[in-house]
Amino acid sequence: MVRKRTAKSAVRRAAQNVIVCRCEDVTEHDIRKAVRAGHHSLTELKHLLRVGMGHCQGRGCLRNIMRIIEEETGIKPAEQQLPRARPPLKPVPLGLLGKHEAAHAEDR
Amino acid sequence: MPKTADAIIIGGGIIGAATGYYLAKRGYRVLILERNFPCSGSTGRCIGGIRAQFTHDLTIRLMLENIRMFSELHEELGRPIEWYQGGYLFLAFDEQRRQALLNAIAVQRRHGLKVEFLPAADCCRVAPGLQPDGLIGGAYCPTDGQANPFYTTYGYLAAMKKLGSHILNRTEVVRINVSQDRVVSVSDKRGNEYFAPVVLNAAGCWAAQVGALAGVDIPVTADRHEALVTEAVEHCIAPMLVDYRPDGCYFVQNYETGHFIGCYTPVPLVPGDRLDASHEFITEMPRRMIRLVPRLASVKVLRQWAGSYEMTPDGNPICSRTPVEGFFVCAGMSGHGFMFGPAIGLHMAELIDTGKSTLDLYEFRLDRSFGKAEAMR
Repeated sequence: MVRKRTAKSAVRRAAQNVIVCRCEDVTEHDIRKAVRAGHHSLTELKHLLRVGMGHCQGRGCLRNIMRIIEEETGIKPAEQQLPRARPPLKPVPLGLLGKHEAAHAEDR
Repeated sequence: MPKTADAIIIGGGIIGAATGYYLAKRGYRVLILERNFPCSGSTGRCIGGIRAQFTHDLTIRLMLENIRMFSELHEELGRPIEWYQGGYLFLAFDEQRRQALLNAIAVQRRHGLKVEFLPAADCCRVAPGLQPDGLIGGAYCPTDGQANPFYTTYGYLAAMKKLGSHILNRTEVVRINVSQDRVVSVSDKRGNEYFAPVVLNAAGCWAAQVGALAGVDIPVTADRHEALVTEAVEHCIAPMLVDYRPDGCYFVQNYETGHFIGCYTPVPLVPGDRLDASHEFITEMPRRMIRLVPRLASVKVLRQWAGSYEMTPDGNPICSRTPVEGFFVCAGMSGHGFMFGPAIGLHMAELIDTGKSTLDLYEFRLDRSFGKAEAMR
């Protein structure tokens, strides 16, 4: 039992440097530190660490961050509020969005 | 958490955080009551621009002080705030705008601001990639800049906590208890009562509703503005570009991260504190950005969102005592709360503590006539 716990904590220590948000290079350690400082919501973590603000808009990391919040605070993922989904959901070039409006105007 | 304090601040945006910190530095035990969490109102939705190019004398003086403060804030707070002086470039596409900018420059120079009117070719040097067609020139001030609203606000709050003060998140004030024209306490939604001889209304675009709780009329209304941010790209443009045409826009490249971030003022204005994102903005804003800097066309948009400007009738803030003794208001920043924050917080704390501030905020008093409007909103 003791050995198992030691092995587990060693893995956990090694995992501290794992990058959780790959778009913005945020590690598990950064996230745990922020949660322990009292920032329990995904939106606050986003503001502080930029997690979920890159190209994937949180698709890659938010689930894992929710699990970290659960481990640190006991707040179940189902009770955690997701940051608001922001259009355009997937990255779209400015040129395409701008042209869309011009094409629309010509239609009218 | 104590239920008594020397001063209670309603609102955990930049104004509440900065004023809270400077009050704590003066020895006050401060308690900030925040309805959601820090920066959840307008502070967290702004694009982080900081400029001294205004037309109102007091605002220019305030911003000159703010630029000095932002330059040293990372030392004061002991953490980075991503302050960068990339300048602001206000563009003129017609003679009328050129004249307006020249008039503003004359006023700004009287206060010692290093600002000049650049011909179109020089504008394109300052902002590589800027489309010169139809451009007459622009008012350029290299000392204007940008900072991170989240880092700055959280920095103030952390420094304030170190001085023994507190912030309560998810605590909505629903009553301000006044006895014989003097503020006594405030009550939150859960029925807790917090006592302090001083209560500051720093509730941003909800300042009117908070004022009403104490029976004080505060002329602040919300206007919906929208913004977008692109992916990060190599740093290419330093200044914030401001195009004041009715179909213009303003945007800046975040120096630290490389994202472009920008917005425009809708015509006509959209009153109310709704925060839905519109289809019109996400198609119109890119068109306006590309018109100014065509090579941005391939840069991808990541997000759009909305936020509220907290407008007063003249576009200048209200930093004032009120008819209720001990009840102060610091709100109505009219779209400039983040950039006003540090100096407004410093002088508001001074006003609360000593009854007077070294930068005289008299022109921002609550019972003014609201006649002389700010032209560079």
